[in-house]
Amino acid sequence: MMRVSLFAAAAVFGLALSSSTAMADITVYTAGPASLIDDLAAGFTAKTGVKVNVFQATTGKVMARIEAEAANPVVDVLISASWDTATDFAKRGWLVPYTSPNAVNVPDFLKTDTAVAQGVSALAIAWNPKSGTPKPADWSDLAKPEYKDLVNIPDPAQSGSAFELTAALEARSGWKLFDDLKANGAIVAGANAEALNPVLQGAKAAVFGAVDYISLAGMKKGESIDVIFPASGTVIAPRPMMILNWSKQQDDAKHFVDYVLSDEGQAKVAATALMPARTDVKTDRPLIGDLNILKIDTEAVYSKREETLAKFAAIFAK
Amino acid sequence: MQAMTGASTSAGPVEARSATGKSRSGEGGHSAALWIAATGLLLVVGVPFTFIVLQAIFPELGRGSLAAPFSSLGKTLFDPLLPRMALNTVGLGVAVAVVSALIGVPLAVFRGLFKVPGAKIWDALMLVPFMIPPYIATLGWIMTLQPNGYLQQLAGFNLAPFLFSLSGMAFVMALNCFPVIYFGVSRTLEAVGGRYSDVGRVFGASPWRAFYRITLPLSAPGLAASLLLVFAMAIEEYGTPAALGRHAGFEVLVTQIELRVSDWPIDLPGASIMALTLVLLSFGAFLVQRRVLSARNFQTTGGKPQAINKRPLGPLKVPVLMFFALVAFLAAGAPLFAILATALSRTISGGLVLDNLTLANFISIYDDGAGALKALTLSLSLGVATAIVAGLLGAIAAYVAVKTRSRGRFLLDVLTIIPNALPGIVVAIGLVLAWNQPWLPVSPYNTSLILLLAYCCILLPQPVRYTTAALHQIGDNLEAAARVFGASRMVVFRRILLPLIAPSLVASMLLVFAVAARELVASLLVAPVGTHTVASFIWRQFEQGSIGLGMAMAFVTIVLTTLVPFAILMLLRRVGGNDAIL
Amino acid sequence: MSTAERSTEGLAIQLRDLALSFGETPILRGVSLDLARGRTLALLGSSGCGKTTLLRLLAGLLFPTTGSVSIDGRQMADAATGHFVPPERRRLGMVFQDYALWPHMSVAGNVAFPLEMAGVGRVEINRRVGMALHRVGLADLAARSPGELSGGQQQRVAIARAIVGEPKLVLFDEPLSNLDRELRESLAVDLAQLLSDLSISAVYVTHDQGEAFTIADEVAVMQRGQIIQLSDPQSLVEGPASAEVAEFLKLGTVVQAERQGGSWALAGTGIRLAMGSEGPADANRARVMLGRKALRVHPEDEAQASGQVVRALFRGDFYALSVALGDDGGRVEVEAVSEFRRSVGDRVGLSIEPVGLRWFPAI
Repeated sequence: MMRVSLFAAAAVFGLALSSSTAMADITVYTAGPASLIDDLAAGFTAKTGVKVNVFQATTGKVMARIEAEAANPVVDVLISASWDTATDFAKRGWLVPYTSPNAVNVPDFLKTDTAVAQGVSALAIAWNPKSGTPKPADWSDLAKPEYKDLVNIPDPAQSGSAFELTAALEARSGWKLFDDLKANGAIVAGANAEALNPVLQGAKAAVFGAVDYISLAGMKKGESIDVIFPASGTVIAPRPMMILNWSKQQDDAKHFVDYVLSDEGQAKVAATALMPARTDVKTDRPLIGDLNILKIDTEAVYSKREETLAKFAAIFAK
Repeated sequence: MQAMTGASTSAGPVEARSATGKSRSGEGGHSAALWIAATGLLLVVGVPFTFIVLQAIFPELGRGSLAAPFSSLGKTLFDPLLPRMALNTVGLGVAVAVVSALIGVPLAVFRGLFKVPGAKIWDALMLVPFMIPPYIATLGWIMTLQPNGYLQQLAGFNLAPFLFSLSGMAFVMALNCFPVIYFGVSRTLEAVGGRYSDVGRVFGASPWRAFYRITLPLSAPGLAASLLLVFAMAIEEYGTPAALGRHAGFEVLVTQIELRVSDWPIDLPGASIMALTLVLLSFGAFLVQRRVLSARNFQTTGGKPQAINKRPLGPLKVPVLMFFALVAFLAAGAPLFAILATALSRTISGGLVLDNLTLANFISIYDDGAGALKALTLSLSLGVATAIVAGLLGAIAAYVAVKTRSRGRFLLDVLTIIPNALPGIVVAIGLVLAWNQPWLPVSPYNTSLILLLAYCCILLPQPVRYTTAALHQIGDNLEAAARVFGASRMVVFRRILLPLIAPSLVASMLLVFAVAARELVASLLVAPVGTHTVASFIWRQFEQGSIGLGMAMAFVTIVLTTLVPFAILMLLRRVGGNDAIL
Repeated sequence: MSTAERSTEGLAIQLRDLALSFGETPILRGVSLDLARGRTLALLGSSGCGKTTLLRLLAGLLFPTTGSVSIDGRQMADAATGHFVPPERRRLGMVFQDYALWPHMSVAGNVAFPLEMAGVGRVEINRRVGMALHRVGLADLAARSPGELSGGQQQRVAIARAIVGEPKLVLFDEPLSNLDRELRESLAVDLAQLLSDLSISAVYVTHDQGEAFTIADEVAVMQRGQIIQLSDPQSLVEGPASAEVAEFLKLGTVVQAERQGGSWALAGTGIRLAMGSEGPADANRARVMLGRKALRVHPEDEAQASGQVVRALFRGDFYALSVALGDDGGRVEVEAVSEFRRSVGDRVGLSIEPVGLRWFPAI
């Protein structure tokens, strides 16, 4: 009995020790691909000796954590999957103004005083060539009878980029496309990966508005998946990096941002099939210049976010 | 003169009462146990629960402010969604309980009253569904039943319309929950069934009438208690409603809470209020369960073990065995197959063909590229630590509640009841709110200890339930004898009570280990920065689209969490020769 | 109380005005008694008389509502001052009705426990456990688990455990009542021998007077939470202090008697009691106990009274009869012993000998 309690004490103590973090580390919260942040953290530590603690989850979970920790925040650098976060946090005055020397080759629309893109993803149609359906070319194709009951749509309530696509398409041509999709049996299927999995297995033929880099990475692995950027236009999702003003390691945080924007960092970004933020970094995927980007008025779109989501939910709840 | 004839009866009710009567001798000696239990329970249960309630009242709590109390209460309470969610939640709970009963009760009747060939093996197989994390099993079912899923690849048809419906959801969840009913009811039937129904048959009842009039009523409390437990499990479950319910447009409270904490801007007060609604529902179920259990006093387990005389199955043998095999296949075989098939596939779109077969996913776990081994180590050590801490705390709390009459008992009772009604997500939010206050000099937040606290809170009811039952069966004189022969309360607990409740305690600790090693919802929310548990690792793989790696990890975890307890049981049996466990 | 007030020196037990209530329900109402060292006291009474409560107060498993308990000259509990010595520091031995052997320890482990608690060394423990088990005839079974033993063997283990620590006082709580009759009788004899060999003070709770008489030096008959008589077994049988004691001890049939003219008769029957059996001089009504020696069964015509057999039980070497005396207006049933076979419905004659009569006041 005595031995068991000693063991318990040792186990508890050991857990506490193993996870206590040294003060000099920096903490990064990111919604980005897990393998990318692991890579970047390892590279940064190798270069500077500063350890990087990573919390990686969906944008929503990252936000939940920051909100819950608001009284005693620990995050130094935040990488969101939605540019809206950068706008919102800047308004709250939570961000440290910083322009990285490595950001020279980042185009202006991907940086502000307080945020700079790590990389950019775009939304696309992810289509399974083995699904026995014709290759779609545009968003509206997915409302055709060939794709009856075979289309998944990521939930705009759970994915920032899916929301922006919805808003942009709605602004261009109204809700008719979504009514047609619903009539054609399209369903709303959770966040991005959740929507993609059934397409891989062949339960569905296509994702309407898939995050491109996940599908492109799948393609590299040999999955039967094709990524189509509709000629009529799509939206991009720059992934803003921000330094929080409560950070006690602001210098190291700035070094981290510099590192992500360095040649080495941007190469790692490119390796995960994201578009690098710097225009001078080469990669073998379609870049912003190759895409037709739908213009959205971020301010206006986000101001009526709840309304848009409610309308979208109403269409698909029928 | 009549008085003489009664002289040989044994101790009367007054003496029996005096044996357990209030004893001043306790008050001093109990204080240690009482203090340990009270401190532990306050820390593990009281603190997070208090902060959830506070958050529901003070929306700005997360910023350390008590401004604008009650301002968000009205908004959430009058949200038209709330009654619908609550109704859906109850509906799902009832549906799962009913389907679990339809599967579990017939199995239990055959297992408890008849000689089923290979009974021990069936028992072991029925334990497997416990070991498969529900969210993994659900994903396995999706990959099996959806169009072009494994079923269609093998048999040419799919069951997608069934799977993505309320009945499909209830079916999948019931396959995870029915063992509660199978084990609960078959043990009850074993204890009461044969003997009393034999008496009924001597007095002229046919086998069926003896079953309906005697066996069934006697086992009704056991059945009701297991049904309520299943109900409580079902309304707390997140993974399955999240994966299947959305397709059916069926939102429940847990998924709604999750949405509120993961949809920007985050609505923590709203989530807290919904969480409290959920707590209220589970608490209601728990109170009913306690009422039912306290009414079952005709089931005394004491006395000498009776030779259990089970009936042969006769011509029913083949159909019954086929039924057992079907359930075992659906609950254990099919999900395990789907998990393994996915884990061994090079690509998901490649399907079930030989050249798509690869060990790459397992190899990448051993290569530890994505931190798989680290996650496994952390989860297994957290499982062990949770089992020990929750086990000891639960045993001490149960001891204080059952064997003492201290004044603090009421508080302890409440504190052990609350976690029954606290879903993992609620515990997680409460812990973050509580332990991330800026004025705290030290905090377990952002260390693995916070996970330990969360798991202990969520799983504490298991050891409490098991050890309470075991303590009730220990005659008071065993304790009294040790006191008289010179043992203090502490020594009595250590030398007499603990060894006697050990089989039940160990069983509950193994259960705690298995569940803690794979807990998902709280892990996602409170895992310290930079650390992954098995479940959050798997979840991350799914979110990243690496389903194969996630499934490989799931398979390794299932094997480990099944083998470790099994090995411990074998070891204990060899050392102690104790057959009472499980 | 029959034992005179003495100083606590030389006393194994001293109880003063001991009472215990659970809420409003009084269980024990004011018990005082002294027990000299080395003597065995039996607490005899039917269920619910408070005898087990008294024992548990001695053990320290209960705390008195009022009164005080001293054991071996040391005060253990006093309700007035709140002083209380917990059971583990009273240095007692105890044997329970349900044996209370710890199922997870071996026989030797059970017996060794009190010595372990007293901090006795391993070697000494082994020696004394061996001796204690030898004394109860179980030396061969030391390594067994208690569950493997018969009821009688288990109780011997419990006895060995109670005496192994050479306690000042051993408490027995109906130790033999779960055993069958033959075993009970032989174990009672063994136990009496053991107690006198060891000259330990003991308190023995039982509802069986045979056991009490076999084992005890003094017997306290209890009823409704009080001691109604305390004396040695022989005086108890010869001089029951009340009709209740007499009835409880089954010394005979207690019936109503009334003065009819100059002599006494059984109430309602007109059967006169022979000369020499004088009831209380100053009363017209009384109760009289007809002891076994007082009633003789004769053929009907040879006797001073006659009655009808209403029950007849064959007891091996005699018949135990219940005989109804008197007419329908005043029937009295008495117990009598006959050497010859009698059947229900037979009429028999009875003679009442004055030697076996005992008089008590009327209710």
